[in-house]
Amino acid sequence: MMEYDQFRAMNSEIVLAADGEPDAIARGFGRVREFIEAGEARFTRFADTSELSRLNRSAGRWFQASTELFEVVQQACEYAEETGGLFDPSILEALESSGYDKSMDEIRARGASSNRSVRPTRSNFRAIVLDEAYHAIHLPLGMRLDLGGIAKGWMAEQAALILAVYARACVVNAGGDLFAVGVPSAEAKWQIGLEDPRDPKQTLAILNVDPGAVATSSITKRRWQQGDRVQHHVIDPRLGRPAETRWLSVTVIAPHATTAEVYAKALLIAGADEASRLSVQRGDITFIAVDTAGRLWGSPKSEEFLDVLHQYA
Amino acid sequence: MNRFQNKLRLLIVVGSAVGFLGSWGLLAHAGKPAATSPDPVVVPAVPAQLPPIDFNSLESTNGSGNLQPLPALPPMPSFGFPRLRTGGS
Repeated sequence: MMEYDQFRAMNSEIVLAADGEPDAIARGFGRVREFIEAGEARFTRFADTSELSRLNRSAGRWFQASTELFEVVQQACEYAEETGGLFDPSILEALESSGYDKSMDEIRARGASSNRSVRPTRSNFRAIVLDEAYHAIHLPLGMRLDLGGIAKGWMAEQAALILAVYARACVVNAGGDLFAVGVPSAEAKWQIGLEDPRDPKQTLAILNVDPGAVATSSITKRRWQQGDRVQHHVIDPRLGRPAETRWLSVTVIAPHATTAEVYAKALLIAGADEASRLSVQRGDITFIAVDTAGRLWGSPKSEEFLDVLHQYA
Repeated sequence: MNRFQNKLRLLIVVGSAVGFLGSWGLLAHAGKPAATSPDPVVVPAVPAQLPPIDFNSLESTNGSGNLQPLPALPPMPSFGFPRLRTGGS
């Protein structure tokens, strides 16, 4: 019997699904909520008291990080190197310069911001220095990190591993970053609805996936008006401003949630030619992209995951 | 005592100089590392567009590309859909 829990955290809808004994699952749901609330308090950039905010204020000197923060920053730096900088955690300055300086709920309440011009801001993850022995992080003066996406993926996977202790099979879905452990009884795969980025209430396809991770990056959800421009939250680190791409969303299926999250973003920024090269170079990911006409584009094995397609001509 | 200190200093200076010059010579005549190039990456073509399915014609067609057309939406499973969805945030 599949049990569900749903709540809001990290400015996202969190959905937990677990197959097993209801009493045990209820305890697991409670532990996952605690874990995610603690993770949000640690990784949010919108609270001065978060560990990430304290790290950002420490730029120019060494910062002793928790195991969790160090691990996420370390992974972020490794993925940044691997993607040639298409993913870069040091884009916070550019993100705020583009108008994403408050939580999305606050921005929507505020409406259009002033007509200031977007100041392109270069990021440089290679200037981050890590000391693994002491879990210490050194950011150069003026650099601040945004770990929003990768931290959400990391938390989804960790939370699913916690929930798996209480369930035969489970999924944690943190705002579209999913991690599945096991498979529900009487089912061969997990079925995940792929949202139409042009109308999120519609489902464009159903993905049949094995245990592991699925994540989507989209330019249609976190959008806001800045002067006469519509901005979105996917920053192209090469340009220091919101990416210009003909794809509206990219979904990645991968063994780990941080991999799926990072590559969904990197491939969305990269565009068709570069996305294929990155996907082959990585080797263990599959991607499906949706363009402005709602057409699906995918890496060679992507069709194996697709079940039902709704195409709106 | 003073003579002993002077001899010791001389010994240290000469020893350091001989060690430095010896190491330099050794490295200068050592074989150079071969230049390496990264493993070639096969660059595939632009990702293939997945063939669209026209739901109006599914009942009378045999397929579209490599995708298996379905005559109608299958009954949704009791779990998962549509609660488990991905679309970014």
